[in-house]
Amino acid sequence: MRRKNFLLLSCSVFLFFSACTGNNSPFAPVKLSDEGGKNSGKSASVSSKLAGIRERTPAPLTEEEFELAKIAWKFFEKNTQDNGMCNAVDQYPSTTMWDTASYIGGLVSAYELGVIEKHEFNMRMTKLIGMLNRLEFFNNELPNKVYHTQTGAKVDYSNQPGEVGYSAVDMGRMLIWFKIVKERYPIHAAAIDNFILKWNFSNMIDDTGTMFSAMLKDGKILYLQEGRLGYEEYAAKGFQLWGFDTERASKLEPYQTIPIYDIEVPYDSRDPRTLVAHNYVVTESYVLDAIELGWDLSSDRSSSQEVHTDQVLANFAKRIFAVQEARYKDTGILTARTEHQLDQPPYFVYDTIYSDGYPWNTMDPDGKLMPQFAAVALKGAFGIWAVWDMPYSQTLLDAVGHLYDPEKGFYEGLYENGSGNINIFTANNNGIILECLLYKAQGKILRFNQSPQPSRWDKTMDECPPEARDRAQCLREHT
Amino acid sequence: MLSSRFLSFSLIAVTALFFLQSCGLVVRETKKGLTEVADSEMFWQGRHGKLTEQEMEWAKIAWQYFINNYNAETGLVNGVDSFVTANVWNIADTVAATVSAHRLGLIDNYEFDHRITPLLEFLNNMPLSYGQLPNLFYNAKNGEQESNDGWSAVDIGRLLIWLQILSDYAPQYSEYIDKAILRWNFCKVINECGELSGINRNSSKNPLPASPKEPLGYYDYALMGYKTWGFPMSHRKEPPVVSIYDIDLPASKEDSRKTGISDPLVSLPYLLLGLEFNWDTLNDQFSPDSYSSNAALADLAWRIYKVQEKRYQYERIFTARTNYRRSKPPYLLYNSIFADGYAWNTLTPEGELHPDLALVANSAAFGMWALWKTSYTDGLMQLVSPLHDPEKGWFEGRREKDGGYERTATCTTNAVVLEVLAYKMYGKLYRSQQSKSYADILMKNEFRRPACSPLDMKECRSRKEK
Repeated sequence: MRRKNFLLLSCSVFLFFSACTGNNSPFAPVKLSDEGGKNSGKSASVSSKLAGIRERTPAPLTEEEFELAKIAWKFFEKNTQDNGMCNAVDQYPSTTMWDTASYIGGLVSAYELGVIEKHEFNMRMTKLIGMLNRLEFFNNELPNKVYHTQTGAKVDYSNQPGEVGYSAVDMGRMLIWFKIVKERYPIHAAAIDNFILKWNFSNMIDDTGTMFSAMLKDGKILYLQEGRLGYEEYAAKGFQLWGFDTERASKLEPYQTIPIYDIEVPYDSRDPRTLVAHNYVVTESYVLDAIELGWDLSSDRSSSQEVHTDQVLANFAKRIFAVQEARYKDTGILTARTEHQLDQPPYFVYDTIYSDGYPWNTMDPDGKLMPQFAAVALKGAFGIWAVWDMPYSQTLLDAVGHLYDPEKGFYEGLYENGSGNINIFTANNNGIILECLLYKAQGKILRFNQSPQPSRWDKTMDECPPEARDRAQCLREHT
Repeated sequence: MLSSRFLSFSLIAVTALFFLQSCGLVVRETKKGLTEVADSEMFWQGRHGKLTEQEMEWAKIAWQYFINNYNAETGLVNGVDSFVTANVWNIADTVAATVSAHRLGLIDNYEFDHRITPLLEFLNNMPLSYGQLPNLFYNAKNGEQESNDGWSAVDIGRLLIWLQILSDYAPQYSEYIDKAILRWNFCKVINECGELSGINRNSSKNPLPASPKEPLGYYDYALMGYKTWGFPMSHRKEPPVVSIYDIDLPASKEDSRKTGISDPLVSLPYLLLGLEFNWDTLNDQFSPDSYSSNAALADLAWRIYKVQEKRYQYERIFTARTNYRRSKPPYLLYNSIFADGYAWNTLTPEGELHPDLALVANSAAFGMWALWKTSYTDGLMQLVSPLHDPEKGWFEGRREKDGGYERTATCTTNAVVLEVLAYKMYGKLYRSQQSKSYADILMKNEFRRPACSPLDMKECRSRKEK
C-alpha cells in the first residue's frame, strides 16, 4: 500500500513540471547547485552538542589552588640562572624564545597570585630583559631558536655554540607576553621596546601577512611559511599587538573538519605529506589564546570576560573541549592532548587530537606513530580546567593535581596506558600551569593600560610605512 | 506481484493523459510523453531507456575487448589486454559482459552458448587452491593455477553474484553452475557468524599485498554474492568517520600506520551494488528502481557520488575515483576518495604515493553516469566517452594531472561499461526467479550436500547480541 501512494505522489508532481515546461539539453554546460544534500542538518547538531559547555567565571584561588601555584613556581626557583635566563628543562642549561615566554608567564602569574614579592618580580624581569638585550641573533636578524642559559650564547640543538634559525611562532608568543608585561608594568616598557626594536622583521613577515621561520640547510638559510591552525592564529595575534598586519596568517583557512564522536573537529588542511609540517590539533594553542587573549581580536581592548570577539576561534576551542570529553565518556581514558616532552627517546611527541590524517595520533617529530607515549599532559589538563567550568574539568584536575615533586614542580604528564607519570619537569608546563591559575583568579591575562603610556616602539611605528617589508626596514633604520 | 507493476503503468497512463491535455499539448506527442515518463526517474534510478546509436557503439567497443582477449580453450578472458592471466573477479567480469552483451543483442544465442559452455566446463574442472576454493589467478590460456596462490573472498563474492544472475537469466545452465559451486568449501571464507573471513589467503611463496580484513565497500558487495546463494550473512555497521566537503563517509577500521595495509574508499563496489541490486534488499524483486529497499546503502552510495560531484563543484576537478590497473609499474593504483588519512589519496597497495597518477576512471564515470542523471554526470560522460580505441576497447581513464589517456584496457572496466549499458536498458541486473534448482534439491539431502552448506552453519557464538 505504501508503495502505491508513493508512486502516485511522485507521478503527479513530475508530470506537472515535465509537461508544462521546456526540455533540457543533453549537452548543456555543467551547472551545479549548492544544495546541502542529505548532510545539511549537521551543523545544527554540532552546535547543540556544544551548547551546554560552560566557561569558568574568574574567582579567587582556594588555598589548595594557591598551593598548586607555589609548587609550579618551584621549577623556576630551581632553574633560573644568575644571568636571568631560565632553563626550559629541569637542570639542562638550554632554552628557546617560546620557553622564555612561558617563564615570563610563570613569573607574572607568580607575582600576581602572591607567590613572590614585588621586589623579586621586578629584579627577575629586569635581569631577564637585560640578558635578552645582550643576545646574539641568528644571522643578525632575530633571536636564534636555542640559547645556552648559563652563557647566553646562541647554540644548536645539541647546546653547542652555533645557530639553527628562528621560529616566528616562538617570536609571536614572546610578543604576546612582552605586550602583557608592557601594559601591566610600564616600568619595564622601555627595555622591552629596546629588545623588540632590535629585531629584523623583514624575512619573518611579508606583505601578505604570512609568517616565516628560518632554518639552515647545508649552510644556506631557508625561509619557510610557519604555523598551522591554532598556533598560527595565536602567534599572529602577537604580531598584531605590536602593530603588524597578519592578514593571511590570521585567516583560519585553509582548514577542514573531521567528525570525531560526531563533533566536527577543525584541522589545518595544508598537506603534511608534501609540506613536511604536521597539522596537529592540540589543546595548548586554543587554551593559550583563551587565558592570555580571551579569544578576543587583538584590536579588542575593552570587551568583557564573557564576550569573545574572535568568535569562530572560540567556537573551535569548544569543540576541542567537547571531543576530549567525549573520548573520556566513551572510553574512560582521561584525555587532555597536547604536544609534550618525554623522559625517554624520542624526548618529544605531538600527542594530538588529530594529526596527519588520524584522530588521536601520537607521533614523534618525524611523524612516526608512538601510541605508547600518549599522555594526559598536565598543562592541557590545567588549561581545560581553567577555561571550562565542567565536571570533566574537575575530573582532569583531580587526576593530575598530585603529580608533582614538592622541590621541582609539576611533572610533564601521566601516560594514558597506565605506565605512570612522565618523569620530567619543564618551564613550559609549569609556566602554563601558573598562567592557568592566574586566569582562574583574574580572567583574561592581557589587560590594556587604560592610560596610554609613552612608548619608543609606538613612536617608531608611527613614523614607518605600513607595508610589512618597508616597515621592517624602517624599524631597523630607527635603531 | 507482476500485476502490481502493470497497475502502476496504467495509473501513469491515465494521470499522464490528464495532465498533458490540461496543458494543451497535441495528442501525437502523448506517446512520446508516455515513453519519457515510463523511462523517468519516477520508476528508474538514474538513466533508463533504449540505447542510442552512440551508446550501442560504446557497447560494441567494450565487447571488442572480450573478442580480442578471449581464450577459447578455457572460456576465460584476459584480465588486462593481452596478458594471459585472469583472476576470479575477471571471471565474474566475463560472465557479466557476456550476459550483458547478449541482452543488448551484440551476440546471438549460439555465440552466447559457445562462450558460456567452455567457461562452465572450466569452472567445473578447474584446480582449486589447496583443493578448497578458486585460486586467486588462473592462466587464461590453459586454465592452470601457476601455484597455490590462495583465494580472495571478495573475488569469489562477485563470481557468485554473476553466476546467480546467469542462472536466473539462462536457467538451462543452472545445473552446471550449481555443480561448479558445490565443489567449493565455503567454510574457509565464511565464519559461523556469517562474516567473511580469510579475505585473502596468500601463500608465503607468492606474497601479494595483504588485504584488509573487511575491505571498504568490497566487503558489502561480496556479501551479496554469498547471500544470493542462501548463506545467512550478517552486514556490519560502519560509523562514518571522515567528512569531505561536509559529507560524512565511511572509513576503514584498518589503521595503515599499524598494519601497513591500506584500505581505500573507492566508488566501484557501491556502483556495482547499484547497477546489480539497485541497493535493494535481496528479496526485493518488484519495487521500482526509483525506490531502494536498503535505504542506508542507497544513501551511502549517494554520498560517494555526491562527494565527487562536490569536488568538481568546489575545485573544478573532474572526479571519478576507483582502483585501476596499468600495464606497466605500478600495476595497481588505489585511486581513492579517501585512504590512509587523506582525501583524494592516490597510492599503490604498498602505500607509495602517486598523486600524478590520479585518474578519472572510466568504470567509475560510467557507473555514476548510469546511476545518477545529473548535469555533472553529463559532463563526466562528455569527458570520458572518447577514451577508447575501437580496436581495443575502453581505456582505464583520463589522468587528472594533464588530461592524458591511461591507455591500459582491462576486463573489469569493459565489463562495467557493458553492465552499465544493460542497466540503462533493463534496470537492476539481479532479479531472482527463485526457481528450484539442482543445488536446492541437493542441499535438502543431508547425506549428499557438501560439507559446508548454509544449512549446516553452526550457531554464532562470538558475536554479542545488540
